[in-house]
Amino acid sequence: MRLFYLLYICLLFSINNTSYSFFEDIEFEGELFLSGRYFPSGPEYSSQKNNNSSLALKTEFFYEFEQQDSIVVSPFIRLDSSDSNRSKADLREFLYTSYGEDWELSFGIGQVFWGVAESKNLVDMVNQVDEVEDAFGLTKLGQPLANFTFIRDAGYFEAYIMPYFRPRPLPGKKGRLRTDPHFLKNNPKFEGGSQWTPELALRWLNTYGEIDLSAHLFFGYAKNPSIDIRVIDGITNYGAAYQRIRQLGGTLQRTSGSTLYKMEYIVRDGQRDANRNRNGFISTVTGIEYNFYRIMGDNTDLSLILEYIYDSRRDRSSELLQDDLFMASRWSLNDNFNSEVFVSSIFDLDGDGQTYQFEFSRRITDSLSGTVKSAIYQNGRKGSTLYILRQDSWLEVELKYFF
Amino acid sequence: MKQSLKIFSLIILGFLNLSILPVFAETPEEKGLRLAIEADLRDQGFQDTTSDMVMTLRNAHGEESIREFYSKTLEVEGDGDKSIFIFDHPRDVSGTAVLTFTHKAGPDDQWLYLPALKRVKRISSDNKSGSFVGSEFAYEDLSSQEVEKYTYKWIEDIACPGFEEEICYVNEDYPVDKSSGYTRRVVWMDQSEYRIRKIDFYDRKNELLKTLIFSNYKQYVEKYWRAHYLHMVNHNTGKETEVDIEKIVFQSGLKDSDFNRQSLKRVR
Repeated sequence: MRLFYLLYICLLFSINNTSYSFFEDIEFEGELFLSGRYFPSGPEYSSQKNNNSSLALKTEFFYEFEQQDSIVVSPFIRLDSSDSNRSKADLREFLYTSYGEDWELSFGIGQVFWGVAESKNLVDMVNQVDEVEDAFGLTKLGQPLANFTFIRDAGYFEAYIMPYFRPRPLPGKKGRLRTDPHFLKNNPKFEGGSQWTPELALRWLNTYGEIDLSAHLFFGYAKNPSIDIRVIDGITNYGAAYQRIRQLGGTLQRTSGSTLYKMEYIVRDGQRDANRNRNGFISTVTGIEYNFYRIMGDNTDLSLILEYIYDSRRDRSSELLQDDLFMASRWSLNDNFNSEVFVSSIFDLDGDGQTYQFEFSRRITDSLSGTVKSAIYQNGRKGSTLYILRQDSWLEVELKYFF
Repeated sequence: MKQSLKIFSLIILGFLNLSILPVFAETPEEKGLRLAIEADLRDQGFQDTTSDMVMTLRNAHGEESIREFYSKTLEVEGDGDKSIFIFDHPRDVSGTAVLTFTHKAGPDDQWLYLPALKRVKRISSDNKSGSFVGSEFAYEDLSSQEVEKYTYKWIEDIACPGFEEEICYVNEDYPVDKSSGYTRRVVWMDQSEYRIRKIDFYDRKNELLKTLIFSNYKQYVEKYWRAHYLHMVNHNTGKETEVDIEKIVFQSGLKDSDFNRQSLKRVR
């Protein structure tokens, strides 16, 4: 939090130093979200609330200096009716960017996406996932970073330094979609240092005709915490513990006609598994996507996606997906309302249950759009993540207003 | 004797030559190709353009919706153009951008930028026949037109449709790519400046699907003609799409480095 204040003061300082035209040239965009989430089954654990509604606001300010320098500031606020961990303020971006013909430098708070797969992005190592905000895991916290990118014929060479680690937001005592007991919000443990122990990443990517390749090295904290049992007044609590890891990973995508072949892989060392062992492991997402254009009437496109997610730790992995098959279809109606339906199912090949996800989104007016999302968690074996979520299948309706 | 024989044979050859002249003259296919090459040559050297566009989609009941976007195009020597499309309106898609490397031979390379996720996604360029943002334009109607992407056949020379004082070449173009949504296009191009006036699109069943009219041509840098109003009508559905090109800037000094994954993330 202190870092945010510092950066905020920096911004104020820079505003005071420039003329009034600064304010006129600032581009502003805002999105207001209103959402309600309904859980058909009653809560399993004590103190959990049943349904929740929330209001969120995301704004973005953008200013371009002369000579290819710019700054973007994007604060986000959510107020949630039931889970205090879901009510929050975050700076999704506060990034200064400067670039030349073959280089780019940025620093501040940013969002970085490295993945190619649809079910899970193993290789996304820069930002922490905001699990409370978004059960599909697509929302990320703003990450303090400095990034330098070099562009050469041999590809894009990127270096990142992340000076401050952000723990994963997890549901609070009253929230749904949580473990029992819930994770204590305070005092997460950071192995071999503190939140201020820097992390480092190096990445390369390039395109060779149909093929897009990338590779990275990462030295820092695992984004997913392991459980640190803490007994307070005779009551067992979960605390989060983050381990230092070393990781080599990469992506491969071949785009061949209407067929896309995708792969993400990581080789990681240093993370504790469920048995508290620190053996190295590999994890992969391998998939294929096929696109049908203009089926069913004039404009509808259909994508079929099949991905297999593997983690060599299998059931010792704290990840939900470790030996799972992901099957999905995306219907893009290409109509006036930009309507889209995304349906996916995840089958655990170890017989550890199924997850079904559904998302329908469409434009309502030029400045209003709506989304209906749902997830069903089924047949989790006792002790598994899906078993923990057995009462938590949900349906969410969200309206998004743009201004 | 030898000399007279030579002269004689020359005369014979001369006659022969005259009589077979129509065979040596260009076929309709050759003429079609020559016209396409000529039109392409007239557009060479434009370097780069930046355009602001408003698209109006109208369904058969007259209900309208508006799309706004701008595009940047870079001429690439020896290959197809590079371009970036950036959406401004409606707001739910604003900031979404598409980077395309057109190739003279083989499929184009295409990347999509999704601003909410900060994700650059390599996408299939096979969706040529797919609708562009729900409009009556398919992706292939808007992509960079390269000579190599069609085979040609000249049909006739007639008065330009809707512009009778000019004479137009009428060419048939046959897409080389099998993923095209058309069997053929019939293109009316004026003889004075090789400006396209009208295109009829024939679907896979070889039935007339759409008609596109180009008008409001303006000349830039004393050479390049650009239409500022495009009107597409779908004969099957009665839907139509108008494109108003509000502004075109030529030769603003765009570079190759403005058309890569890194710059795609920076556009807004």
